[in-house]
Amino acid sequence: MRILHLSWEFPPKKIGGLATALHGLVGAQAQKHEVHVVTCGFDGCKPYERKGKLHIHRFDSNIPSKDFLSWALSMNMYMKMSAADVINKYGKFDLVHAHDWLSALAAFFVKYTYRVPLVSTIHSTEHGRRQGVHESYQRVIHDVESKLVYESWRVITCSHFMKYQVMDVFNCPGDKIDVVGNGVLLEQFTEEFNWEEVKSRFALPHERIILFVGRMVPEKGCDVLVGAARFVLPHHPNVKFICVGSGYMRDKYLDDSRFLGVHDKFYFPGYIDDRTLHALMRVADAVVVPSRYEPFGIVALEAMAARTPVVVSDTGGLSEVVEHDKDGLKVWAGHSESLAWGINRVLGDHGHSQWLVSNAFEKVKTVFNWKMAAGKTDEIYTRVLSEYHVNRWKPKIPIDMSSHS
Amino acid sequence: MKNKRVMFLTWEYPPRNLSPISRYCRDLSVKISSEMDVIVVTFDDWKASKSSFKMDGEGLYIFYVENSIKNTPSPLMWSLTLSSDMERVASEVFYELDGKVDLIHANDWITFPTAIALKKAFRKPLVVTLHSIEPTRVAGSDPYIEAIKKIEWQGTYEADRVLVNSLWMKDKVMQYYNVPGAKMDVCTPDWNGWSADVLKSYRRILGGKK
Repeated sequence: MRILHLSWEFPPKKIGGLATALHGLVGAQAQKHEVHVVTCGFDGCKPYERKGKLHIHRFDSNIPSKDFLSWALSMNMYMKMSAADVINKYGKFDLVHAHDWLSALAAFFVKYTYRVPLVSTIHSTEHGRRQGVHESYQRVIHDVESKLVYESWRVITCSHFMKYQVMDVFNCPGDKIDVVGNGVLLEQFTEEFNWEEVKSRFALPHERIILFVGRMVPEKGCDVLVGAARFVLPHHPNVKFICVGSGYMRDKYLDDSRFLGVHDKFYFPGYIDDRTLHALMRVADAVVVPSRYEPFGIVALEAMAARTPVVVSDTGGLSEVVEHDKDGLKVWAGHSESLAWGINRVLGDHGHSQWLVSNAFEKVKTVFNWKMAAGKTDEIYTRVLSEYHVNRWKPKIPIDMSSHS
Repeated sequence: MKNKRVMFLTWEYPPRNLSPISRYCRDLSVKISSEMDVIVVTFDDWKASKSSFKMDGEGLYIFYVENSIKNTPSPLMWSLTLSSDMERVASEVFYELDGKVDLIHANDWITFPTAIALKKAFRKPLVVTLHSIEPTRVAGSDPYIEAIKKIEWQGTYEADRVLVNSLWMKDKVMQYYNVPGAKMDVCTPDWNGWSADVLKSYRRILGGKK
């Protein structure tokens, strides 16, 4: 099978969880299939890379634009050109797989002009990210997402929560949607590193680390953690809260911690590289994911793979990833006292948290790995292709590849 | 040029009439349709809501397209989202005709995102007409203007021939987009030899009697 993935981000360029998720998926897919990824380039990137059966094509995405939406739509024009070049060079593709609205226009183009069946993964929705669609800027994104869902042969979501959201906000029939959970690459958490050295960069030797990883935006709920500090510190005074990630709310959260008088217990290092982050996850005493909206919650999965206890809010995909008191703790979303209860329980009962950790690790090994996710995705592809081959929409003639360059 | 087909891409066509492009496309498509088949793919949300297709005399077919993305905050975004629907309709026509389209002719930057994509996918030659260009329409520069300039430049770069309506325009296109003069043809509208000029330009790509 020859598969074309369209995504605006792919490692080493990482903005959200999409790059991580796609990286895991295509790595597993490339064991069996010829996989091409068409993605945005960046300064100093390699325009073409090949790892076995995995081909990565990067195009120049430096486009003048006055806002993100104009950039995204213009970028799709170049993604179309790049995708067409790839198809014209490598021959017919069996499937095109789009990831989120940012590659939707390019995906429509491949579907319409080459008559290749389109599968899409909806990693998150504008409606969910902003708790509704409020103005015309957002409406365009929402409409493009809606059209992507409509034009797709099948839609993949990473959790049942997202499935119901896609059904709800786009009026997509439920039997068109398949749920394929994300996975985690365990080998990222087995590398050797200097435990003391990593810890010393973030906390004092005697301090216990509570780690938050996520963008500093309201939906990720870092402010809930800031609020929870006052309820944790009386019980566990030797705690350090480390909030990794950047975003427009970062300064606000810093101010909050000063206002509550707990700023000496908080550290906002901003963005840190993957290797340090993975090491830090293993050093940490607990990882918290206090999101208000979370399509999947790959951070929780990574923490489970790093053998660190997790405290997550009972919302979205997190509700499905974590089983309460079995492989992690679930607390109320957006509720600082509840989050503090979870942190205190993990810090206070070492035996219990070790039991959670071993259960959690077993779970990521057996349930959330990319091989299984790729297998499930394969089944979806096979189904789409079997339907495609008996379909009238299939082109009668192959496009003449010789007539014009 | 009999048995040849040209696909005309435009963002307006009568009865829609906001700029001279509408009348340009109408006059030219009618004139050329006596020599070759003309398929017009145009934006027209009102017409599209009634019927997607109209046969207008021998050899002239008009397809109406509606932009399925509403409320776009700027013409640039409108153009970029419209291109999806243009591509869908153009592809349906293309496959219905078993790929027997010989040439794509695009009018102004609004249709360039569609035209460039179709050129690559269908592997057909592309002719573009620049009625005006952004540097002559607006003074100064901001990211929005630069984005349009980039699309205009990309269109001239991808095109096999670039048509302009006047020598002055040819000069401006050469000046701003560095298009070689040998790649451009001046085809003055409202002149007796207009369609002959355009057809001559087509023949340079398609071959055949001059």
